[in-house]
Amino acid sequence: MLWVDKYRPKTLDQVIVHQEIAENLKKLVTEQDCPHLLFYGPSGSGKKTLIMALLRQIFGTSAEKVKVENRTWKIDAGSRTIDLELTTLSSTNHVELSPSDVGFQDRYIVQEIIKEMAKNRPIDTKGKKGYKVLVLNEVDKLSREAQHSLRRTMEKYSASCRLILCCNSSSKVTEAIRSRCLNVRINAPKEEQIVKVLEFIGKKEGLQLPLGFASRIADKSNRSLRRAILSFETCRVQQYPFSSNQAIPPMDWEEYVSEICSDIMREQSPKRLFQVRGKLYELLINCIPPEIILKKLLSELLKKLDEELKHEVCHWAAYYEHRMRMGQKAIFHLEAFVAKFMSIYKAFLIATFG
Amino acid sequence: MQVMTMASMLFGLRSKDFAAVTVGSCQCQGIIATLASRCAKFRFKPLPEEITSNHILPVCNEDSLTLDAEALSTLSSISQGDLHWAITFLHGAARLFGSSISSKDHVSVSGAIPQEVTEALYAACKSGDFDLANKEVNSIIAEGYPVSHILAQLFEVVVEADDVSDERKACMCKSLATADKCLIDGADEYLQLLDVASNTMRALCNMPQERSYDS
Repeated sequence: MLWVDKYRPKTLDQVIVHQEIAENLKKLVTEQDCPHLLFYGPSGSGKKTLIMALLRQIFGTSAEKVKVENRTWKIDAGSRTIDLELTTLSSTNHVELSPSDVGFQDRYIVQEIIKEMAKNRPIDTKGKKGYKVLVLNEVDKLSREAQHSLRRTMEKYSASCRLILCCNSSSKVTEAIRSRCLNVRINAPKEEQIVKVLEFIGKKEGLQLPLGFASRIADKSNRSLRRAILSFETCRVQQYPFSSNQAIPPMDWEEYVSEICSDIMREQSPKRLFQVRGKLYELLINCIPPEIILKKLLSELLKKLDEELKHEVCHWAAYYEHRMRMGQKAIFHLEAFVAKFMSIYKAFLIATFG
Repeated sequence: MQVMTMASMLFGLRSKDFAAVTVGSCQCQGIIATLASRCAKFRFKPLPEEITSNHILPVCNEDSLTLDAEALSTLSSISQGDLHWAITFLHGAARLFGSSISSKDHVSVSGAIPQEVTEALYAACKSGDFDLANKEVNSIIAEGYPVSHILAQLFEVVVEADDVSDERKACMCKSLATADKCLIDGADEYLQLLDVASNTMRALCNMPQERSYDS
């Protein structure tokens, strides 16, 4: 088992990083009831861990016995029926799903499936009417229509069902949904906190950590705990006992992006653009999300550029990322950014050095 | 209602024979004139503070919560006249902090961004150091603050600044508006905020507004 999963806190008491939030969540569910919740924060900050621990707090160990189900739903949409395939993760008391998986048809998921699930209220052993929890992932990727349908569901079935929503950026969730939930902001762990977790894992695994090694991993992790633990484990596999100056291997796609960066800094020509296109395709077919590529490329470029060019390049990065979101094919926009950068940089070089 | 298409609005027009149709919308402009002219219009404003308080107090009595006057006025101000927010905040605060709730508890539940965060970003822009601003933007994203709120707060800071000429303020506001639209389209928060920071910096530090190498 990967360390990321092995040392994931199972209960709210075991949480190391967000202790204050965990305490609050515990208070929140003491009366066996809670409002709708919206968790937001950057990736690798522990949203999902907290949600699972919260479910365990509410329902006890039965929340951990989950089964994965891949079901096809037939949905009657006026004149035609639509088949939707959706993977759900469910226990007796909760169901977890990512409605945005089905793309533009996500509103049918919200309107039909979630409504169906919300309607059926479970009855617990004492014969009391309990409530069901629906965990929805990636709410920020839902379309506007789906979000508007969701708020009706939230109000109508609030007696029998609680929604726990999880997303990266709450700006993309409509105000109407946010105002119906208790918003819980999960910040990325500080570097000291990451170091603390790494030392905890090191102790459990019986490893000797050289001085400053954990803080170097934390420094490279970009404040993502998941990433820090993964690279910690990679280091362990690579070489143990650790040496104090052991290199922490960067992700291979990141190296690839910095290669692209130095390529386009060195030569600005259509020929080079063509070569870069091949590399961008390579990244895309390895499932690196295009906006991540663009952001990484920008941060690599910003390291090397002159002050006056930085403004310009960051503007165009924002511009093409927006275009990419509006459009269909990411490669056009990535390449347009590269071409734009080349033209700006060439003009700068000519103006400076003649 | 505004999210409805033109076609469904026209359909609504036909169905008026059968029933009284009730329409709700955020803005009147989105509704086609033919439909608007057939309706009696009611305008709803954000609720003033006393009305919010009047609705909150019975809730407090019912659930035996104690709010002092300060907490009550804070609740009204952070919910900005939206009773939905006000009750959600109250519910959350009651669950987290027990029956007596202070104004500080409300602020922490509402997830409002501390003013210092925006001030720090503005100060970084004023310093003219791009890397400093970039670091500030990175930390805002890592803290998970919603960028749309940061933009709204930055707007307040920009408008109230005394030492900036109107022309420069206009430049900054324009970039804020563009970023806001892009965010609604689903653009990346980091890149948009960085673009805003860069534009603000150029306006504040008298750098040329036009892009010099743009061909």
